[in-house]
Amino acid sequence: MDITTAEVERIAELARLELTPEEKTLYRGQLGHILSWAGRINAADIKAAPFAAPAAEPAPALREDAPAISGQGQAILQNARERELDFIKVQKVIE
Amino acid sequence: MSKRRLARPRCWDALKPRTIFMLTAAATVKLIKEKKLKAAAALEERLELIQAKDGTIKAFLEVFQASARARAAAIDAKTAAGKPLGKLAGVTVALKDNLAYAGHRMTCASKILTGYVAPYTATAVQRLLDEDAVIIGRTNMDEFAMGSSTENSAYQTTKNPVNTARVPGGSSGGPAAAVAAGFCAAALGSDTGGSVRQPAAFCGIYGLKPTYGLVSRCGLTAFASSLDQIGPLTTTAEDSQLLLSVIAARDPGDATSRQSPLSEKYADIRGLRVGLPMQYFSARSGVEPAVSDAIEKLTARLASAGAVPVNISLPNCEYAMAAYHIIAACEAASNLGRFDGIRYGAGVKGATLAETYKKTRGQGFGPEVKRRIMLGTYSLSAGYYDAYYLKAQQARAMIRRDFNAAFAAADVILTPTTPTTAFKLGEKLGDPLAMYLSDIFTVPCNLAGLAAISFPAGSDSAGLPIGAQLLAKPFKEDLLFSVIREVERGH
Repeated sequence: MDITTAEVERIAELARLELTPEEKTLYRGQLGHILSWAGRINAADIKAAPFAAPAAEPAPALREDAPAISGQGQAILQNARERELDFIKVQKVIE
Repeated sequence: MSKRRLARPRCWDALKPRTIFMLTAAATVKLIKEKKLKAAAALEERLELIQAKDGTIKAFLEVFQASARARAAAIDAKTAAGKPLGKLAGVTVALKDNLAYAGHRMTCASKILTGYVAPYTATAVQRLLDEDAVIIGRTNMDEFAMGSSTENSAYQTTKNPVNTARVPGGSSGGPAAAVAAGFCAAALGSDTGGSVRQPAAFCGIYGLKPTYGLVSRCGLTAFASSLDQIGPLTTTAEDSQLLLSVIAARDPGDATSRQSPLSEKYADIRGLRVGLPMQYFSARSGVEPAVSDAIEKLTARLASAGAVPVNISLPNCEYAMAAYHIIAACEAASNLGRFDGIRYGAGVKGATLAETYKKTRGQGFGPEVKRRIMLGTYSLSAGYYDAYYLKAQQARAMIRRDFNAAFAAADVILTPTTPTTAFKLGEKLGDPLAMYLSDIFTVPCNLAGLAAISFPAGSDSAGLPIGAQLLAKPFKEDLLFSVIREVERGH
């Protein structure tokens, strides 16, 4: 299966990955190869298959949606690249 | 005194004769509770061995010397004060570097998490600590658990302690190598498509993939959430059972976890039906003769103990690898979206926020992680979703149906863990597809959410360990241990 460089660039844009020209060439070949191999899935006889349920059976057991103090605030903030007081600093979101 | 029954790894050669690092977890607990061994002494000997030998093996990314010593001292103080000790008193446990331990670094062997310090402790790790285990360090892995040789780590290449020219397997190659080398009594890894069982097989130890939902994933860095499960790596089946009994529990932090009482009784294996999937033993399956011989011997051994071998068919398992790689890549593309360079880890600032994301992720993720994110993003994108993701989910439903039918005819299923023994370092690094295929026998179990274990089944002519895999219905881990106990009784 052939993947074009334009397709690699489109996927990289969707995945928010900056790729070098060498990486684009590498992934173009490798993704084409892997997708051809993965395409064998289309030979599977899935007439009897419903849309697959997720692996968790029975259904996930949700906990009560109750507010609580994690006590991890400062530890979480320590990991941020930039912070101001008790806030994580982010670049402008809306251009 | 119970010592490991496995072969002495080569990295022990020329060591002065000492024994503590040969102790199993269960034996360590027993000696500490009987006051014949101090937790500090048990820890120090492991630390000395790491100091002497991990320069070659490279299993650890970081040894938590200070916190481990403090915990060992606290356990000895408890003993001195006559306080009761936990089920894992003084047991040294290494963590795969994707499990959170509050106040300690965690990188998932990725550059993108450089400098990250876990703000909380994974539930499974906390449960070990609550039973007085000593967390000795964090160990190497394929970046974000994507790989089968631990060569995809951004930091170092781990060697197989049995033969240092070979890979330890992956993605839990660091934990497996650490346990096989005697650097710790046990380790916790994670298994998404075989990442505990395959390295356990390559390093000649025991690796358990518990039923999906049996162990909380809270605090395990998510790779593919419908497949991931935390499991122990140990030198005996008894230790595997011991660690599982501690980490298995329903946890409000993981909505897919559930309470399931584990039977500690051993089932009588007389009359037990052992399924042998014909597809796994066909000429096309690529199984090395030494591996199929070992499985044949095991089958004969089980038959002589009264078990009944039965042939079973898993016709859709030929689609398992493709289905797995599509589903895992799609889930990874979504889960790894959180690594944005803002909230944690290393970030590369661009002129705009979008550029910051792209630069951070482009430079922070390694080649295999980027490849899988690209594959997942492609498979989920408009126009390809039906052909890849939906089809893979439908194939997964068919594979589950195959297993349901197989478990009507068999109580457990026996297969090789891997088609070959440990391959050479670098051998498959340039060919992602060849690397993926080393997980061909382990992947179907994750798609179906089953219980599975890899255990040692001899070695090939080069002395490389062979692993056998047993599968059971969800929450039937006790059957796996019953069968292994019977096999080992005959040795």
